[in-house]
Amino acid sequence: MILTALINTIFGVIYLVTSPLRLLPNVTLSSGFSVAMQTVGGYLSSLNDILPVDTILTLLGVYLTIELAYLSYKLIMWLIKRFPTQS
Amino acid sequence: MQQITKKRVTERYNCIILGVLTLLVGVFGLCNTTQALTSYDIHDYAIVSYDSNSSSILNGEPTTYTSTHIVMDSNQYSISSEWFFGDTYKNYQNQTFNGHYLFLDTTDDNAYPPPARGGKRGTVLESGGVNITGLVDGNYFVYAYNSFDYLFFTIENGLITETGNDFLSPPQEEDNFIASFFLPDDTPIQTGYDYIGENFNAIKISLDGTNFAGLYDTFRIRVYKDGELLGTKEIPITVSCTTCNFAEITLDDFSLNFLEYSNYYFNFSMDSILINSLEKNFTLSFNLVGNSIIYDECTNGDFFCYIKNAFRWAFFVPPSTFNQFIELKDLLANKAPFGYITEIYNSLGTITNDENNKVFILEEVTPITNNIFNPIRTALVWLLYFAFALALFNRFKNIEI
Repeated sequence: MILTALINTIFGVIYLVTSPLRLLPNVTLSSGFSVAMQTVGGYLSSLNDILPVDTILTLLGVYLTIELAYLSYKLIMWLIKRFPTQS
Repeated sequence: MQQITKKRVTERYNCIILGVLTLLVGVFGLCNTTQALTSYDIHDYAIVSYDSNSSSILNGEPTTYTSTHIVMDSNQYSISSEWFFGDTYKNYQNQTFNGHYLFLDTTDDNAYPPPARGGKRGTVLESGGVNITGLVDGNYFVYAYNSFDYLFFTIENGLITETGNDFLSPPQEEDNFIASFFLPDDTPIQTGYDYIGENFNAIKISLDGTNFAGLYDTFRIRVYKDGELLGTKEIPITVSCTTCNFAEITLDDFSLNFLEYSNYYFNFSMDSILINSLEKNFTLSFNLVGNSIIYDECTNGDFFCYIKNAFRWAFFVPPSTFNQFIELKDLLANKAPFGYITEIYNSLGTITNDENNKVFILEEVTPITNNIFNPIRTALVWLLYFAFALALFNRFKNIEI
C-alpha cells in the first residue's frame, strides 16, 4: 500500500506534467522522409556485418535519453526557482 | 600536485583494465565461433538438376519424394564449414512435387570432405520401389524441404551412381513466426503481465508465420505454471497450403482450469526450440502474479505471520500500477516532440542481418568472416560498451544537480 501510493503519486505528477503533450495530435511525417530514413537504415544494415552499427546506435540512444532527462530536470528546477517563495 | 599524481595513477589503472578487458574480449570472440549440433532428420526433398562443373542449379522441373526419413545423427557430422552456409537452397523452398520416387541411403560412413570441414559422404542407392522415371542422365541436386541439407548424385545410363555427397548443415535455430495469445472471444492477451478477467477457460495461441506445413510436422506445446510443467500437447500440422499466415491452437483440452485463476494477472511468454527438422517445441509459460493481496491465515499469537501480512499490505504493488507507466509511454511516443524520434526510429527499422533490409550485400569469404571479422566485431562491441560505461561514469561524476 505504501509503495503503491508512492508510485501512484509519481505517476500522477508525470501525468500532470505531460498533460499539454497528451492534448497534441499524433505526429505524422511525409512518406518521402520515411523512405529516406529507410534507405539510410538499409545502408547502415549493410555495414552492420562488419561494424557494430546497431550497438553504436543503441548506445547513442541511451546517452541522448540520459542527457535529455538531465536537461528536462534542469528546466523543471529552473521553473521551480521562478516561484516567488523559492530562493 | 597530489591530485595530479592521483589522476595519473587512475588513468594508468584505467589503461591497464582496458587492456586486460580487450584481451579477454578478443580471446572470448575467437573462442566463440563454434556451435553445438543436435540430431535431426530430413524428409520432403526435391530433386533438381545440378551442374557440378559450374556448381549451379539447372533450370527444369524438380522431382520430389516424401516418404522415408533420412535419419542423421550428430555423430555423423561435425561443425560447419563454408559448405553449410550457402544461399542457393533458399531458392527452392517452394518447388512443387510431381511424384517421382527415390530412396536415399546415408549409412555409408566415408567422411568426405575430411571431418575438419564437416559433412559425410552418403550413398545414393536404388532399392525396391525406386522410380527415377523422368530423370535423364546427368547430375542432380537434392534439396530437403524441412532442413537445410542437400546432396548431389549422378545418373548414368539410367542408374544412380555413388558420386553424390551430402553436406549436412546444423539445424537452423531462427524462427519465422510470431506467437500471440487470445481469449476464446479473440480478445488479445498481452505478452508479459496482463489482467485476465472472469469466465475464461481457454487460451488461444496464434502463430503468425509462413508455411508451417512445409517447415514442421508437429507443434509440441508444453505449459508451465510458476516453473512447474502442467502438461504437454502435440498438435500435428495439417495445413497444406504454402502461404498460410495463421495457425491457431486452443488449449481448452489441456487439463488446465483457468477459471481457478480468474481475476488474476498472468505473465505469459512463449519460447521455442527446434528439436529436429520435424518437431518444434513450444513452451508456454505463465506465472500467477496476483491482483489482490493473498494473506496467510495466522493462528492466534503467530507474531511473524502478522508481520509478514503487514509487509504484504505495505509493499505489495499490483502490476496495473506499473502498467500505467507503460500505457503513458505508448501514448506519448506518438506525440510531439517524442513522435518525431519514434517516426525516425520506425523508419530506420531494425539494423539486423536480415538481407531484406540491406541496400547492398558485402561479398564474404566465410572462414575469414568467422575467424577474423566476427571476433573483431565482437571485440568492438565490448569495447564500445566499456567505453560507454567509462564515459557515463565520467559524466555522472561531473554532473551538477
